[in-house]
This record gives sequence, structure tokens and C-alpha cells, in this order.
Amino acid sequence: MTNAKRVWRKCRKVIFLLRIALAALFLAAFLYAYAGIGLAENEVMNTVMKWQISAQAVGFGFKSASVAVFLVSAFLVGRAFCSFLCPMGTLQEFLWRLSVRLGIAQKKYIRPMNIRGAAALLAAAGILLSLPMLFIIPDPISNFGRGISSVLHMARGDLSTVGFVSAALFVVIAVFSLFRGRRFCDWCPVGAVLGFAANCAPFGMKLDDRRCVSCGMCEQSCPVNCVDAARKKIDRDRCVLCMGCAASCPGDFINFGVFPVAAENIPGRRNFIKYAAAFIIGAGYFGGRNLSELADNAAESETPPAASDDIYGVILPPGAVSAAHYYSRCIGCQACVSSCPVGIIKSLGIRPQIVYEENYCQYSCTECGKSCPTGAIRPLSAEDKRRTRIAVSELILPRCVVVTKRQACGACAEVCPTRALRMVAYESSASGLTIPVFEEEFCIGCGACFCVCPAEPRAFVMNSVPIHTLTPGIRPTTDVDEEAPSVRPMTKDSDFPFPF
Amino acid sequence: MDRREFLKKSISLGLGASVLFIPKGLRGIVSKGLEAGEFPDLVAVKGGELGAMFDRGMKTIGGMDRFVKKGQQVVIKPNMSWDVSPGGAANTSPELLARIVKHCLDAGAKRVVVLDHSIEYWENSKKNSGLDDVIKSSGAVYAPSENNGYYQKIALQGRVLKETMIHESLLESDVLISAPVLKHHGGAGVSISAKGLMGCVWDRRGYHANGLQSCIADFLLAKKPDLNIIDANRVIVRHGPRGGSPDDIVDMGSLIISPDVVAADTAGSMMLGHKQGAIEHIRLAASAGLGEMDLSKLKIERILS
Repeated sequence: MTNAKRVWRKCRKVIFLLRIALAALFLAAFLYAYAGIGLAENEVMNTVMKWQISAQAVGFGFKSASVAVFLVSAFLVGRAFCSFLCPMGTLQEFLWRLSVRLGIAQKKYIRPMNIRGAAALLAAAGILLSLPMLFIIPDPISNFGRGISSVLHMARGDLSTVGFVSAALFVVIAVFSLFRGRRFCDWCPVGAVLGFAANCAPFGMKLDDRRCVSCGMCEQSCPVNCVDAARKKIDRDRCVLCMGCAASCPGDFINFGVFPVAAENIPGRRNFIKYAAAFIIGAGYFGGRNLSELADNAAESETPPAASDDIYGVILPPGAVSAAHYYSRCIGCQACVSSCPVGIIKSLGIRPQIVYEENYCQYSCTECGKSCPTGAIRPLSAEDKRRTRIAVSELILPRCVVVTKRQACGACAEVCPTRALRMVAYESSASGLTIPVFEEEFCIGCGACFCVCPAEPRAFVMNSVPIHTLTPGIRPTTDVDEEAPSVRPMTKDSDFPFPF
Repeated sequence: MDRREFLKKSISLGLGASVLFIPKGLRGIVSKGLEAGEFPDLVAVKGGELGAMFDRGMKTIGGMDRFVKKGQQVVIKPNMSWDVSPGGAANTSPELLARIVKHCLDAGAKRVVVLDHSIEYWENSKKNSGLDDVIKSSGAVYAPSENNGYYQKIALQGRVLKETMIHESLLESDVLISAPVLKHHGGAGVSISAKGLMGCVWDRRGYHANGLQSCIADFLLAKKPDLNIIDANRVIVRHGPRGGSPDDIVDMGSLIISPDVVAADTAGSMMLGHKQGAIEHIRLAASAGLGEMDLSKLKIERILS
């Protein structure tokens, strides 16, 4: 072996280790983002979510910058995305590499499961026709997010937002990957779509079949199990360019190389139908959102949005617009659940909603919209958030403790950020008791009054609204705000109102 | 009389004599009805910059070392509960908190802890009230209080409140300084020192469910502030304690300092326009012997700039 070859072999190992480090960094960032509840963790969440290709495709289609970047990259280097940016993929790979160390992993070539074309077709149809379950069920970031969020909440002992099926599925995928590597990737629609492109990409892992002696080292180092050493073949549409095979080859027979534009690499007439189908599925997956939006806009111009949008009767996070908007885009990744600083966004199934109990939607907080990778919850400016009505409160005065116990309270008016609630003298001002008055026009449905109300049952009910609207903002000051004439605060110019 | 003693005495004599040369307007402060070494029960300061007002007020009431001894642990309880910027007057002024912390550290405090169980999301309240920067730069310590793990159950003999969960830093501390901002309160009438101490307990809803006014007064049985510093610079006079509109804020440019929580709250409530004794929780606290509500019985110093 010449000196140059020895150096090159070292280089391949270094490249492999750098890629592992990069993947570990992204996985750690995801775990940190999902585990934390503070604002610093949210910054990480917002950043990593911007680069989740499936979420971006579901939410924005070709309008998303990262979709464009990854599509171009797919036609150059195939499924490189899967080897470091996808948390589901890297998690499976790390678990598999761990079990290789323990000697329990399957290290042989596994024949491809040819359901991924079908999965991608269904996902594309789901985006196009607004049938969310079709793109939610096979989606990698959705499964990862739901799983990790549920597992972490269980570990914390908080069962209020745990999808038990999601958690179980996540654990099954993790345990399965210990033995069989990246099998989730076999039915991942993102991988399938990128894989179509990988078949005609000019760059990829290249095996020198004239010099290879089929020793099998590469086959044993492949987390996708897509290297067939006996037949000296790498499945290009499955390879994620993890560099494992190149680093493990005792010779230098596997390299990151160029596939020349040769006759056998150009899709022939025989394959024409296959490639045409792949192209249509890919275009549908990435462009489905844009097409369905065009259709929505056309439909909206004909018929005004109906109140029947409120079919779910649930309270959605600020920015979710309406049930129709939200449920056609949400992939159930639980990013909003993790990002909500007060933990009011919860889900026991797939797609989260707001549950008011201990805590309420913070007046100036826009974290959920910032974290949502699909735009199901649109990012709002703080200005708009403070005026967005996500629900509407209803005051049931006979339950109020001021009425039932003749005790001072005022908890609701205390926390009402828009002055929709104010306290006025009850019965006679001599008692000093005050009672809330509610003006619905200014209510943004933040749930503050409901959450702090000490009455049993509470004197407030939070009602959902069919579509989020903008309120006029804080209730302006009018005659009703004047205190009783006996109460006159001192000012800078008057003296202290007590003896000295 | 050795030389050192001679020097000491002549300096104090000189200081005493210098009182005679103090301008007439200020002389009243030093002389009126006070024996040497005796301090007023309540100091009301008005006019000027808040930090300077505090310095003058503190000097008159006897300096921070009257309340904080060397090596002691101090808890300061400001209003830090609202995600509202300093202009909104819902939280204690940052410059005042900075000055209080400085006085405590100068007096030799071992550790100064700043505590408030935030109502709105704690991280935003702390940051946007401007108090986070002040806590960091002044050398104080923020006491995390967003989950019930930081609280311990105590028993007390209140009229209504028999037990409650109070913040652990109160149990470890030697001195409690209540530093509220003067505010209207829709339910309790006013939110000053006694009401502000609700930010030391975990279960706020329990207060509202069992009788807000009684619980506020009862809490003082468990922990009474050693010093009350009321920020009455800009005051929410209606729609308190959060406010929401600039229309709700009145510029009072004042500061109240008193070791007596009932006296301080009475003075504050009168500044908001209430009659002495009009606010139920202050009345309850006074009748439980926790302080003096009749301000005419107290020595009150007024400092005007």
C-alpha cells in the first residue's frame, strides 16, 4: 500500500467521523429542544425545524427555501439529508451502531421493502387532497416528535399530554433499529422521493467491482443494510451517504465518486413509466401544498368561509386561523407542545390543541407559531397576537365567589390583559365588594380569567370560535372607568394625604 | 480622654453644630419630635430621581444597617409578576430595586435574594420588567419560583389561613424586605406591601377561594416584612394590578419607607384616595396587632425636594 493510499484511507475515516459528529449534533439539538420548556430551548427548536424537509413540504411546498435546497441537493447527492438532518434516521443509526458494538445487530444486506413508492404516493395525495393522516402516519419528523415528546412527558410523570400509541410506536421503532438498522427509512416518503432523484444523481458512493474481493466489511458497516458485498452492489436509492462503507473498506474500493453520464445511467425507454411515476409523485409531494392552496383560494372566492369550520369545537393555538387551516397542515410533531412555556398546548392523540386548566395563553407570547414547521400555526407578531381571538370567554355571574360567599376576589379582572373584565361596586359601595363586568368585544380568549377563577365550578366557560379574528385590542378608557368620586388619588402636585 | 476619643467627640460635636446651619426647610426633618438615636416610623419622600429619593429616605429612617446586619441573608420581594415593560408601572422600578440591593450589600448582607412567584410566564416577566438585568448587575440572586418544589408547607394561626406553601428562601433568610409598587387592585382594593407578599406563596387560587382579604392579613402572622419600601413613582390607579392603558397611570413621584407594614400600606392606600381603614385586609392586619393603622399616632417624616 502506498503512502498516498494510506493517507486517503485515513481521510475517509475522518470524513465519516465528522459526519457522525454532525448527525450527533443535530440529534442532540432535537432532544434538547423537545426536552426543554424554556425560551432558550425554543430557539434551538425553531432553527432545527426550519430544515425538516417533510414538514416544510407539507406546509409550504416549493415556497420553502429548504425544500428548494434539498431538492437540488437530491439531484446531486441523493439522500444525504437523511444521514445527518433527520432525527429519526440518525436515532436509528446510532442505536444500530451501538448494538453492533454489543454484537446483536443484523449486519447483512436486507432486500428493499418496496412500499416506499406507495407511501410517497399516499403522502403526496394526502397533501394535495387535505387528507392529513396520509402524510402524518409515515412522516419521519412527525413520528419522532410525537414519540420523543410523549416519552419525555411520561418520564417527567406528566401524563396530561402523552400519546400512548405514539410513544409505543416510537419505542418499537427504536428497539427494532437495534436489531435491524434504519428500517423506518424503508417506508419514509421523504426518503422515497429523494431516492428517486438519487438514481440519476451524478455523485454517490461508488464500489469498484473489478478490485473488490467481497470481504463484506462494508456490508457490516451499513446502517441502511443497502450494501450487497456478494453482488458488489450498493442500492443507490437507499444509500444515505453515511460514509460508513468507505471508512470500513480495507482497500479503497468504495469511494464518494462521480457517476459519468453513461448510457446505462440514463433512464431508458424501459424505465420510462417508472421514472415518470416517480416524477409525478415527487412533484405531488413537494408541490401538493401549493396546488391545494390554489384550489382553496379559488373555492374561497366563490363561497365565504362557513361557520361549520368549527366542527371540532376545540381551542387552537394563536395563529392556527381555523380548524380547516390547522387540521390540513398539522403533522403532529408536537413542536408547539414543547415550545409552549406554560404548557397549555396538549395532545393525547396526534394533533395538539389548547387545554386551559392551571395556565393560560400568555398575552405577548408567540412561541408556538415560531416553532411550528408547517405553518399550521402561523407565526404572529406580538402586536397581532395580543389582538387575536382564539376563543371567547363567558361569565356566569351566579357562580362568582363575590356572589356566593360575599368575599372580595377580583382574580379575573386582575389577570385580564385587555381590560375586557373590570370590577365595579357590588350592591353598595359601603361593603367594599366589587364584582366583574365582562365586555365580550375585547375578549381574546386567552383563558386567564377561567384559569384563576377560584369558584367551584368556575364562573367562566371558554367557548371555541370557528375562525380566529382580530379584536380592537385593549378596551379604551371611557366614563365607566371613573372611580367613585370619593376616591381621588394624589398626584405629583398635591401633598401626601396623611398627617406628618 | 485619649486622643482617639477626643477626635471622635469633637467630630460628633461638629456634626451636631452643623445642624444649625442646615437650611430652614430641611431642618425640620432632623429636629421634629425626634430624640437622638430615634428614628421616624414612616418616611414619605417626594420629588426627584427615584434612586436619590431612596437614598435620602433610607438615611432618615436610620440607614440599611439598622435592618440588615453583617453576614445576614436578605430576601427582597418586589413586584415582578407581569410581562409588562417598566413604563407600564405593573412591576417595581428597576432603578429602585438596584438601589435597595446595593444598600443591602453595602450593609454587609451575605446574600441578597430577589423573589416573586410570577403570575404571567416567569421568564418573560423577569426579562421584560427590566428587573432581570438589575438582579444580574447588582449582585443579587434570583430565586426560581415557577414550580411547587421550591415551596414548603407551613402552619399558621390565621383567621382563615391555617396552612400554606411558602417559598423556601423565606425560611432560610434573616431579613425580609418588601418592595412593592403602589397599585390599585380590583379585588383587594389596593395592592401594596401585604398584598404583594402573596408572591411568596404557591397557592394563589386558595387565597381567592377562601377569602382574599383575610388570607392577605393572615400571611403576615407567618412572615412580617422587616422593611417596606413602596415605589409610588408611577402608580396604576385603576384596572390594577396589571393595568393595560397609559390612562390608568398617575405620576406621583413618591416613595414610602417604613418598618411597619400596616402603616406603610395605610399610607399607600390613602395616596390612592382611600380613607384610613377603608381597605379590609389592612384593617384586619391592624386588628390582629400586626402594625399601627392610625397614622396620627406615628412619627412620620416628610421629605420634599
